[in-house]
Amino acid sequence: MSMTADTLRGNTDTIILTLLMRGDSYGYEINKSVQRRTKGEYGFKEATLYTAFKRLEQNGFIRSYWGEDGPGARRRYYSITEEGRRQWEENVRDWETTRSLLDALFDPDYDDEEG
Amino acid sequence: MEAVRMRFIAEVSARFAAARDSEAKAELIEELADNLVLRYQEQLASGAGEDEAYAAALNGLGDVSELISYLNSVSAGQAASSDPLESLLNDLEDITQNVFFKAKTAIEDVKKRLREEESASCGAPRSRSGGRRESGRQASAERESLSPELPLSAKDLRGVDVRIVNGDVKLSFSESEDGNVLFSGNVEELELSRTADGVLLIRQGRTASSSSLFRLGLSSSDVELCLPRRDWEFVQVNTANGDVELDGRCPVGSVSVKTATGDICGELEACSELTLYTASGDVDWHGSAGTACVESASGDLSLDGRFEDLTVTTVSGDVDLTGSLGEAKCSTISGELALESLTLPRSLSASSKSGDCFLRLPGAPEQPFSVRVSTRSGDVSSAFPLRRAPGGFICGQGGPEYALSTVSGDVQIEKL
Repeated sequence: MSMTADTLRGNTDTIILTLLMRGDSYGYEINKSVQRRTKGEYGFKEATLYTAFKRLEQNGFIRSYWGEDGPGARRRYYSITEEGRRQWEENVRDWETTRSLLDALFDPDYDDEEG
Repeated sequence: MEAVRMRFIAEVSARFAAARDSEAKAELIEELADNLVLRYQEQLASGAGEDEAYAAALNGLGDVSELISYLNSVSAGQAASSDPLESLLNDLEDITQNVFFKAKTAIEDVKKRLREEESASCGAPRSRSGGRRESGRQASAERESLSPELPLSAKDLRGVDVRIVNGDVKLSFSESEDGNVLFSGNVEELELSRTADGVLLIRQGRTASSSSLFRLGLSSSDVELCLPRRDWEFVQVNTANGDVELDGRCPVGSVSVKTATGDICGELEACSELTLYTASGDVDWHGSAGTACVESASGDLSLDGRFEDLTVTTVSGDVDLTGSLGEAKCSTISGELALESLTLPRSLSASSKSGDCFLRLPGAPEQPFSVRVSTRSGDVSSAFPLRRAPGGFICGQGGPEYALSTVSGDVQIEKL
């Protein structure tokens, strides 16, 4: 699991961008989505999530705004920018490349002559 | 749930102590605390107990060191900012940290002092009844042990120092100007002594073992004390868990009441210095004071009297202030401020983050005054002439300038 957790943690930014591709959301809800998608196997620590938010915001990939959430309550929402969408596409391409490389490297039956 | 939220705010604030104060920091703490509340509710819904749910939610916070670095880099870039509302948020966040720090240390302080006193006296032999023997005077050369069952003359006393762990304290003043100090309540649980310079000391636990029971929260007793009505130099009451009530038309030089979890109520004719502090209780006080400092983390504060120099601070409680104000400074984060002064204060500032602010001043004042109002999203209304000004509104013209600041609360200024 530690390799899985490290891999997931290393892709925090892409995970967040992916979830924001579906629409604006806020910290707690994003984390819930992660837990639902991983069937409760994985969830971000708040600090990890918000460090990523700040990093993505500084890079112009997401933006945030305060939204009203019932009387007297407010909540900060995050939305993906156009630049963020381009970054997400690039990250997904990179991941697919990485995955195909790892598939080859992790395959004991791989035919080295043919490759 | 608000109490839990404030606990999370205090905890998260403590974790971010190394980050420079800024609006970004205040907002991040609020956001993280709100998420932790949701995690807490989720845990409760899944069957966890309150303590277990709190611990599990807090565990979800993780290591904030990178966020602290981020906040410090942001605040360094904004050091030159001069937005008054940003300053207000910074000030309010400082208040939150300070008040909760005091709340946390209040209980520790009482227990620490009791431990020290217990440790200092443990070498002194005790009588069968639990009190120290006369032969123990080598340890009490400066402190004479007294029995609560025997009459105690107040003649040579100048002040009272009550420090207990668990139990309510009620202090009143009799009509006679001379006479004895009267004790009631669970007097058998009290340890009394008098210092050479005339201070009556009251502690819980007449034996080392019973002191430990109080300190561990396994025992509780109330203390009732009646003093002759005359000038007293000071009255000081510290209790970790209990309400405190002071009642009587009697002048006292200095009054200090601190309780971690109880309410404080009182009616005193006058005192030169007044300090009231409770972490989670309410304060209801009637009387006049020269210098007064009143604080609560989550309780409501209600004060009525003439105050020359007053500072009132609460995090989530409301402030209701009536009477005559000299100089006054009132702050709350989410509570409502209702301030009414029969005379024009020399200076006045009131600030709230999300609570409304009501100010009532004499309708026909003898001298001019003005009120500067700053609010980011609240409504402003005034019975006095109001005009727009940089950063908000100005009400009135000339004279002392008072300041009312809110972030999202409404501001209303009325005539008495």
